[in-house]
Amino acid sequence: MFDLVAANHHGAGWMTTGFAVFLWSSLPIIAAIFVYRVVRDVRAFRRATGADRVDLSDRLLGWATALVIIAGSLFLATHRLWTAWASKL
Amino acid sequence: MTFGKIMNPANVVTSTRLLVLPVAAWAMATHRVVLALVLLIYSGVIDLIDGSIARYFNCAGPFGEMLDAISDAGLFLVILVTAAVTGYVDPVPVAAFLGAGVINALGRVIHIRRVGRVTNFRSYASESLGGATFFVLVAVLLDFYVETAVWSMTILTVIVVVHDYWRILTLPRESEAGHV
Repeated sequence: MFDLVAANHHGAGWMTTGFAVFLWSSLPIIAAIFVYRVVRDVRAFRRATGADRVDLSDRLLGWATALVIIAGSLFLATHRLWTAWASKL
Repeated sequence: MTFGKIMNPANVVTSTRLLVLPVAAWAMATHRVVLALVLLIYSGVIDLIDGSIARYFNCAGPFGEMLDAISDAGLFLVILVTAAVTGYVDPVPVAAFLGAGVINALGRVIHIRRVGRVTNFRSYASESLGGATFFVLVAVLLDFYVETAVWSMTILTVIVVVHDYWRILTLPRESEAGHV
């Protein structure tokens, strides 16, 4: 029977693999939104002063955090897909 | 604050996130993964749209902000504790992550005391982490490198908490900026 969740890091069922595929397939949209908003906030940060500048500094830390999360998720997704399918080829 | 002000469409929708928590915990404990995922996604979608509902019905307010934050914290707490107790994930990274979350919450209490009114401290970095935590909860249910994901989130949370505490304790009380 095809496993639903699978796992213990040694394989993947369709839901786990689907999550990995979802992370990769949503990348074009996520990347486009990410770049647009980061460029917007960096430009605003250059002009901002006082409390607005502190607020934008917080936003930029948020984007840096998001970048680490996205990159980490994609790395794990790639590894999961490899573990599940490519290694069986 | 009157009952009529609390009972508005946005708060009613947000409060359903608290109501589904016991069902989600039961679903996890009995390994009904699909049901737990559906409830998790429901909670995430409501979190995305409740702000828009509040603006549409012109009923946004500090109580709704706090209810939203409490719903987030309740979701993370219940799902992760259930996951640790029922063997989805090692309890040590969960305890570290939730500990960082408690320190984060204490910072918000300090902020409320400093400004003298009930308000949710605005931290974009913290919101970013909160959004990512939904994906971590999905990862927990799907056994998607769970310990790695939770440890990573713990490290990022500590960085953001240090940054938030610095802002909470050093910013002048009257200079809290609105989001740009």
